[in-house]
Amino acid sequence: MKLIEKAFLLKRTPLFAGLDLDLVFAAADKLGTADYKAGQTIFEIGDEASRMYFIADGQIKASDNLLESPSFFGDEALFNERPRAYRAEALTHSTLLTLSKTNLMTIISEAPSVAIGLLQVRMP
Amino acid sequence: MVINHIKNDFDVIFMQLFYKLFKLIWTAIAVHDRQIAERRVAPVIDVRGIFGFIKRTTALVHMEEESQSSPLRTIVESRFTLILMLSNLLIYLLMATTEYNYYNTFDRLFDPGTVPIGDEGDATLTQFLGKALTGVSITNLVFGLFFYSRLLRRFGIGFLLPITPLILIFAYSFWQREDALWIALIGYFVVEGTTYVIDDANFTHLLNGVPSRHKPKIRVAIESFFEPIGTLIAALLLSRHWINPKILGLLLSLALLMVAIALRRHYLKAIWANLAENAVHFKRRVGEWFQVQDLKEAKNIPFALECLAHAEDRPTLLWLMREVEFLPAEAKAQFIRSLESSPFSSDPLVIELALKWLMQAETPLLIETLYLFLAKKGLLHPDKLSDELNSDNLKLKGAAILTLLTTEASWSHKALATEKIGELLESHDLKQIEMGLEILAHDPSLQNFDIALSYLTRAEAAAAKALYKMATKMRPQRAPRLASHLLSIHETEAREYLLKTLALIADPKQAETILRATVHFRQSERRFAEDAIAALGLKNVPLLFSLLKNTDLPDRARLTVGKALGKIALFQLRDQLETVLKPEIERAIFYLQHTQATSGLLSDTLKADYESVLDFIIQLLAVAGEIEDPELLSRSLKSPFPKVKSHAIEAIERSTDPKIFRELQPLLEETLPPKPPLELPELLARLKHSSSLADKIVAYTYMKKLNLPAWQNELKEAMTKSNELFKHFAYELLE
Repeated sequence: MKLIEKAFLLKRTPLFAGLDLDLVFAAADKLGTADYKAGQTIFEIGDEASRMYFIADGQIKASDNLLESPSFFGDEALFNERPRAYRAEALTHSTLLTLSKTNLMTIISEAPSVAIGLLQVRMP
Repeated sequence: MVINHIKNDFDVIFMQLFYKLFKLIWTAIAVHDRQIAERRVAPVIDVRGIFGFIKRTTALVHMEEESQSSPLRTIVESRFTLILMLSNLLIYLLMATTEYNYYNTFDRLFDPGTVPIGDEGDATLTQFLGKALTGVSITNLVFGLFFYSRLLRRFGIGFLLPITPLILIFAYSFWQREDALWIALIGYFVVEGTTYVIDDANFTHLLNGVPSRHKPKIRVAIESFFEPIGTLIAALLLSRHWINPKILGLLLSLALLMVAIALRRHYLKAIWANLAENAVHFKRRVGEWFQVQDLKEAKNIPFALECLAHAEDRPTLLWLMREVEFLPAEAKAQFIRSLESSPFSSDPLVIELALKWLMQAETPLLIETLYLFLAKKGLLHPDKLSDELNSDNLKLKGAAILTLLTTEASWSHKALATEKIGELLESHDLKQIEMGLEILAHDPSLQNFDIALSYLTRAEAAAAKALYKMATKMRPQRAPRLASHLLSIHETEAREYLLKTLALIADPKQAETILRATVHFRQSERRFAEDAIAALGLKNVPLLFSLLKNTDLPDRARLTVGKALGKIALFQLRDQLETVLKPEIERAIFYLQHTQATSGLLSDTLKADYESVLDFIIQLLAVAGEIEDPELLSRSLKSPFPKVKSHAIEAIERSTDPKIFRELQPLLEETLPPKPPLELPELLARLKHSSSLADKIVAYTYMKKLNLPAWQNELKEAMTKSNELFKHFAYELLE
């Protein structure tokens, strides 16, 4: 995926929606890409949590929820230092953008509104 | 036991008020009829015993509470609160008295004897009162909904306070002479009407003037205590046949008018006193913010010591020096390290304390810290430390080098010490390099400055710290090299020291470089950048204004200049705010109009640009002091809920200069007159020259998509002037 596509995908998520586009591009540059085949496990319960995922393409089943682009998941365990509490699996061939915990913290320190976005999503 | 029960503040107020009331009633009874008091009441109730008990109890509690500024003491000390309490008591007294008076009049006028025979069963008075109550209720509703707040806004609370007493004075003046229905109705209108819609609402506002700490308690005390007391006193007075109830009403109305005037006079002063009491006391000594207990918590020690040591407050230092004596050696070492960079590092008392600790110290950590500290002050004898030049202990070695260099040591020893600095700096061990740089900083020569500068890439923080220590003696000639390093270093501490160094050098030529670098900074680092820009001083204000208006600079960089201007030239900023904002508003309008005229990524980008310029405008308004809570307002303006957005617009309208708001209004409400948009190539040309990286990226993406001529060459040229992120994008696009 190209930088511009990653950036506009991030911009569509509630975390980055209110953020200056230049900062979104800087955040997009920190993203990795991972492809999963249909039925492939992304993480299991008890796995160590080191990154969060943004769905670029495909369908993901995470904790009995069906997620599609531009949803994100796997962020919960990054803050409580606990292992994954649910299983995530690709239902169709999927492309995910990954953001490591370190990079997420860097983004939050540069743009605290991302943390507010996370709180708004997770504590509606 | 009983005392324990009433120890709570509330009970104390009630007990004391009850004591005074009991005394008052007893005196009233005794004055009126001593026989009743002594023969009938005294045997049933042990009056003297009750007096004694209440007095003793309240006095005991009062003594205990005195030191803690009890609510009672707060009330007594606040003249406004006392007047407010008196006002409430008078209102309740007047309500009961007026009620008594109009019922008397109604009783006389609706006497069954005066009702025609045969109509007795019609309950004429009840029907009449029902109608009167309906009328008063409707008036209350209309007044409360439509008039009270308007009158309050327009004339202030001072206008509303005398309304009830004036109406009553008017009514009672006539009531003395004739017992007419219209006068009784005025009384009825006051009791059922104005006391509810005006006086109750006034009371809520007036409460803002009572001391905030005890406001809820005072409110409850007034509301639940004065109503029964007022009714009781009124009942006692009205039951005395020698008191004329109408004269009593007139006297009480006159008293209430005087109290209303007093309230009006003291209200603003009380509000001011209240605000002042609750304000953050910047002049309060830092030591007062910390409790000794905080220092005893191990985890708080480093933070507390560092804050306190930098407090630039001598009494705090003296207090801290006394407290640190009781702390463990690690805390003492931390204290000394914190003092090193504080204004008190050379204070004779600090030196004396360090020397005393050195004599007593047994812990190696404290000893080596003290040696290094005293060596930096040139207070150690070279003979004592020359043996430590080859020590494995880095701090002792550093202390030895410094001592030999700064005191009257032999030339051979000085040469050896210089050699050792070279060894430290050439080491592969970061700790040794840091010590080398720390020693270097004590000799602020141009050569040492250059050496420290060359270490910015290897030992960022230590080199930046050393540069900062040498900065006071540096001329601006090294500023360009320093500023150019702002982007190459990544450690927050190093960036902060570098910005502090640039602030000390204060070279206006570096302002733009600093500002461009801030775009990539964290918020805390941006604050240091603001200080560095503000340090350029008033003489560079015109330059700073030109940077603020320069749209070639990213908005975040311009905002940093705006904040710096807010610190050093707020009045000029406010003066020029309209001029500064006008092109920004036009820019936002341009983006908004083109958002509506385009689609896809381009439309998204333009929408983001519009929001970004709007954020910039809001932030700048906040910097100039026009609005508060800019982040909240920005978020609310982007809200999908129209109500939230309209509240935000209303908040901006309320506090912003009307001239500025008139310019902003169509933008905020997104009600712009239609205007023909630019052709796509023109729009892309404008975007590719924008200060925003995202605009450039999207512009080149569309140029490729439309296969516009020479887009590749233009992109390659743009790459030479852009940062890594743009290069990353460009390589992807050129592939």
